[in-house]
Amino acid sequence: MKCLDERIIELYVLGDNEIIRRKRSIEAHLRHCQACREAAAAMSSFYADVESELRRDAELPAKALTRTVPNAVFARQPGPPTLYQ
Amino acid sequence: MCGFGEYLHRQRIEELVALSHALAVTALRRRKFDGSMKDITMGLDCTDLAYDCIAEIFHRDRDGNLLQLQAYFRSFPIEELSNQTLLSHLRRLIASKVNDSMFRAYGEFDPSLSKIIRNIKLAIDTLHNFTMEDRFGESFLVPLDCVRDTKLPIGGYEEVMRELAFVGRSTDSVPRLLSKLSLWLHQQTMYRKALPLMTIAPAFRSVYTIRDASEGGEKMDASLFTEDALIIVEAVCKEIHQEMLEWYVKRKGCDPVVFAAYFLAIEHSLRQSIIESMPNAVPLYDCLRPHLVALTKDEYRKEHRKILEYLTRMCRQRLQERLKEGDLLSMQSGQSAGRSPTAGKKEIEEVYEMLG
Repeated sequence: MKCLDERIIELYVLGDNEIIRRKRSIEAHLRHCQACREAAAAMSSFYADVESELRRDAELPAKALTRTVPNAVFARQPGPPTLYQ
Repeated sequence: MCGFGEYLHRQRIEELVALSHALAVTALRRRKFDGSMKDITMGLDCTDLAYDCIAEIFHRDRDGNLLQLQAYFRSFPIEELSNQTLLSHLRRLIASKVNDSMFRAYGEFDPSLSKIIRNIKLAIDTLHNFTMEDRFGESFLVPLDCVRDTKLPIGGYEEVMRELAFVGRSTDSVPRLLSKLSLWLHQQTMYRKALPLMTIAPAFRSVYTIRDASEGGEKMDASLFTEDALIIVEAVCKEIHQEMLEWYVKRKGCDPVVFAAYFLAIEHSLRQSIIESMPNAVPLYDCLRPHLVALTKDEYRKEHRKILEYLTRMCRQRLQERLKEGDLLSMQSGQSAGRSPTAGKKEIEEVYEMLG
């Protein structure tokens, strides 16, 4: 049984839409593979810590949580000067 | 007053800094927790260290562009990627910055460990008996052709140390220790085959430290110095070979095989000089002969000697410059625990003398 790629585990933990389509097969694998289960748990707790770290900073707006910040950071609407020109 | 666009841009950057900092601080806390970061924090809080780690990626050029971030994300089709994928890419970038900062910190506060880490990486590149894998931001070494036994626990420093105490020898170089480690990892069935780099490097260092203590002194510095110098010899020969290739091969019509043989001979000559601590330990003719079949002394004198001696001088000079400017200078200060300042200085002086 081949272990899941680290990126797949990470995107699964983050709830990526593309990966969620493969949710069943990923979860079936996790049920049988201890290493991937541990990796998923480690990744999940990593991002939980990142979220609480972001929450700790009172100056940050409430929306500045792990999964919403990229939205703001990598926003696609034009506006000079942008990060990706 | 700034326009709305600029305000929006600034706000986004602030959010990106906050997210990057949170990623870095979390990664650092994990390192601190698993013990791989001890002794290098110099009393600094993880929060401060995290800013040090990410500072580089927020460096702007004159026009205010975040060059590093732009360069990193330009390689991805960001318009097509989900936010989660972008976040995962950002986490990888931050993890690599945290790793770089840690290696830099080791270089500053613990030069001997930093040298071992670098020598491990170079040995892997050369020997190919391990592959380096990134697992959630941490570098793991995996022996080649091994079965992935993912159900087993990961071996820790104590386990690696216990094994190396048996098989490690006082004269072993880093590549030799890696070979022994690879053999053990293949044979054992208690732990996973993959080991974190930050477990292996301190264990290797302990082998040298034990050796240092038992042999009373300056061997560790000397051994690491020699390894460093040999690595630099190889790099210098490659450089000069590349630089002079066009002149000799394309313009002067020198046979590329012969030209390559010159550098094999020069490398051998310089290596032997360093190992035996004497200039021209092996005559250049003897170094060249194994690479050019049926080379006679007369032929050597007429066709090769001038060029070979000239190229050797170039390599020696470049080697001398590299040794001066490189991190071997840190040996002169001998700052880290257990290191003798006189040992490093003595070695450097000997090589300068030998290089003329």
